[in-house]
Amino acid sequence: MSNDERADMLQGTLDLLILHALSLGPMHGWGISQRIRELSDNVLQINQGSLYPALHRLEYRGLVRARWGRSENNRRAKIYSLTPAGQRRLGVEHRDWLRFMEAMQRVLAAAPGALEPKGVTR
Amino acid sequence: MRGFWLRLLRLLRWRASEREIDEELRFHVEMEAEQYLRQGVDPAEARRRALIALGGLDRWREEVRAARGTAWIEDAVRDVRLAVRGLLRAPGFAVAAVGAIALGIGATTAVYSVVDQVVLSPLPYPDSHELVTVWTQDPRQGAEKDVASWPNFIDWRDAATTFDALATALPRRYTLTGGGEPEEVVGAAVSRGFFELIGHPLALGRPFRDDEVEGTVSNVVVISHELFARRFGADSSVVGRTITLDGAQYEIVGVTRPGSGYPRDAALWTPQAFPPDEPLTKYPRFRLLFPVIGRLADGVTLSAAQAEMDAIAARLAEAYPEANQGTGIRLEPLQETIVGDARTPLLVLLGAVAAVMLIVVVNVANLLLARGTARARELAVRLAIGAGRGRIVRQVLAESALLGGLGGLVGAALAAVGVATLAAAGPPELPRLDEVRPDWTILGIALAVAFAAAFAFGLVPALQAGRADPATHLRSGGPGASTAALGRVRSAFVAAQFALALVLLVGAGLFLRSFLNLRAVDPGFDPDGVLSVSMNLPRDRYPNADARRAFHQQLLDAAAALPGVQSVGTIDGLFLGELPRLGTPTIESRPDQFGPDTKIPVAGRTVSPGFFSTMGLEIVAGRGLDETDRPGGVRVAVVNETFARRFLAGLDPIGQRFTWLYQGEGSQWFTIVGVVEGARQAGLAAPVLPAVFNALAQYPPSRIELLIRTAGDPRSLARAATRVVHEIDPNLPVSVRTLDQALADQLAPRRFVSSLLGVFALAALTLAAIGIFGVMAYVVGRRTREIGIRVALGAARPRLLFDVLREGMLHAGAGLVVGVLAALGLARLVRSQLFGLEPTDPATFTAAAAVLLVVAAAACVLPARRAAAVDAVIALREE
Repeated sequence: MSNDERADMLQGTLDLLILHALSLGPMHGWGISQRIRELSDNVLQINQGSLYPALHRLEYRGLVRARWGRSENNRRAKIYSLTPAGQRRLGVEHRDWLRFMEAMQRVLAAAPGALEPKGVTR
Repeated sequence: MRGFWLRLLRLLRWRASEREIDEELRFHVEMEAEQYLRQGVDPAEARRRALIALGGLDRWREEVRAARGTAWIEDAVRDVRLAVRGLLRAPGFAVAAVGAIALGIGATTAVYSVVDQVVLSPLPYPDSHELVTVWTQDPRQGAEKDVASWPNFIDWRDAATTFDALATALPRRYTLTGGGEPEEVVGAAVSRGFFELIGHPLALGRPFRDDEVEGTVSNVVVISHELFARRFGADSSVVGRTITLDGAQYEIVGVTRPGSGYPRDAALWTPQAFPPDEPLTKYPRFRLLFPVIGRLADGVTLSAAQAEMDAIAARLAEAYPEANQGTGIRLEPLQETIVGDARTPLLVLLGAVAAVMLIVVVNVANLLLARGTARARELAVRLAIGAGRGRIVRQVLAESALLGGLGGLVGAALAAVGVATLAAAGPPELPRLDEVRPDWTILGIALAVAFAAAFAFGLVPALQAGRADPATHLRSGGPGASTAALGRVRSAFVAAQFALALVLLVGAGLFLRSFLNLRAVDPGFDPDGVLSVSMNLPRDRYPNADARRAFHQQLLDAAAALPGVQSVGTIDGLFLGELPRLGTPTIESRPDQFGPDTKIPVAGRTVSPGFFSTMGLEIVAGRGLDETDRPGGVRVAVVNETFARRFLAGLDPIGQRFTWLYQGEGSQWFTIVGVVEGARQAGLAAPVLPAVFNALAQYPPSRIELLIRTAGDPRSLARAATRVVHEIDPNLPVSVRTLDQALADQLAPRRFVSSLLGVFALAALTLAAIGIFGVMAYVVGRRTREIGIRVALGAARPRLLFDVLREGMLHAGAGLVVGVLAALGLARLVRSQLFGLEPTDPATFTAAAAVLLVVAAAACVLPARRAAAVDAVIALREE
């Protein structure tokens, strides 16, 4: 899979994950990736190379705010937090995601023969 | 919008944010490494893993930047920085390319600005395309464009329907006195409705009223803005004040806006008037005196108006056969009248400068191709280590843009200097030259052409490098087939440069030889050591012939008494200036020599007895004029040899009597007392006209030129001669020149054109030489190994030298052949500009070809010697 295709697939979900992680409280970039990894029981490993571009893109779009602060081990770090616009955006993206999940579920739940009545006659 | 400001803000904080990105990144790597440490990995390995997880520092940085939306600007800045570094590493290439671009842009802009604003752009009058000159045409007298007589002008004005208006503006000189030095200014006496017709707007006051014009004198005057500013300090209360013109009081009623007046250089305008002592009857139908201009009615074409004027001319010829038979009317756009003879030479210059620009483009293309080929390997290496193809192309483009930008900057400065130089060096005859400014549009176009060439030819090698598999390049260690194709293109370019350079060389040679031919023309008189002092006797103080005669006598006596003076003489008007031309004379003893339709122009002048000796003109038969030729005595004339040949063939001229055609009632007979050798009064390029010289005392003119011959430098006499005039009349403006200077002024336009063409040819030759040098140096460099092998196999050094020279000369020779053919075709177009040689002049062509070949050979010598000096061992080890 090329870089571009992966980016396409992850684009929507990565933004949603970051927004949600930040809705739990302000955090620096590394902390966000850690938080997502822990919450997903190590299933979701954010590609570090796409985390920061995504953060900067979200900042550029006004969904997150960044300010220099102190990390938990008292080092200078860039701390990201959700803006009100980011909050609203999170709501929309979350709903969209749930709808998408449901749709996926329904498609995958279909048993063989489910389409027969409306299907093409042989 | 918000995005834009954010981006801008970020760009301003660019350096700060670069640091921030690095810091954030460092923090991340450290945190990551700490985690690995906690898992028990040793520190160096921990950091390495952290970096790997990050996926390469640079790419990461790049992506963050791209997300921030300022990437393209930051990239551009970086590209330019890289390009600067790249050019600094190749200073020879950079200087050559920037220099060529600057030269092309500067020269093109300067010359085009002059040509455009002098020749091509409309006159500064509203709807100036409607303005035409209405000429009297008299083919039998060889007069294609002559001025009009007053009665004909009135008839034209009354009859013409295709014109909104017709008017005359008779150029005149006025002596302006009072409130400062006496001054002679050029002006015009204008007919009814002149200002409305020309549309030259007044800044102050009003134009003339109809009742002020064409009657007896009404003393009103409109002054030019230039005079208003210079003499009256731009004081607007000047309207209503009176000034003194030729001793009479005139009321200033208007001031024009700044800009060219009509006629050009006019400082003031007075109404055309017919005072009692110069009644309308003094302007009969055959006296052609008045320049007529007209404004076409809305939507009327020149040919429609011409058709109507043809019909009017035919009616007038029928109604007044003795004056008008055989004459016609010819319309000409006023623009052409004003630009006149300057047109063709300026267009030649424009063509020349276009050729120079073309050479520049080819040269820059060549330089870029050479550089691109030389860099093919570098680019391949960069591709191999992962640079994007887009990046490489962008970097090459940045370099081209930098070259174009620098060249454009220097070129714009050159253009400004060039326009100023042209305006200063241009001959005074070139109209409207003082108004020329650099034309920014053409500067933009030239710049665009240079950029396009730089981009296109910078890109070709980059694309080729991008397309090729990097491995091929690296493996072969040398250029492949594609670069060989580029080499052929470059050879063609070199040949093209030589072809263009040859055309320019031939052009410059033809104009230079014309100039030299003209300078070598024997004017028939001896201008060395002659000072000319010209003046105009105002009518108020010199109302009649006696007063003027008295002045002339005083002047001649006083001038002759100056120290160092050998002889003095006078002539009416200016000796080297416009000729007063008269029609065919009738010889008493051969009244029917010519039919009534034959008109042969004759120059009629009035001179003092000392004129012939002062001008170094020899009396070949009879006597010159002398003190015995007094008013009331026999009317005498000295004619020149051309006159004698033309009208008195087979007769002894002395004692013959003749009269002028069209003298009307009471014909005056002149008795020929002598024959003088011919002189070119009308200019060096014009043939010697038949001429008649009358005695000063019998026809004392008001406008005279005093000629003083001295053994020393005539200029040293200028002050004394002026004082002589002012001792007789302190209020008389004089203008002083030497005859040498007057002759040189005649050559000025040709000197201007041929020296400019010479400069262009030199520039073209230099560029072509750079071009061929570059190609041959490249060829030798590429073949170092091959040459090394040949040396190792025992090839003779002279043989190697000769081979390189031969290849270079093949390029030049191809260009030479094409150039000769093109020059043969183009030279015909400038035939009218040449003097004393054919456009196919073999000497010029041979010389141009020789110069070109010598320069080409010289440019090839250095690369050839380098080839001959190749050391076999070193050359073979190098690879």
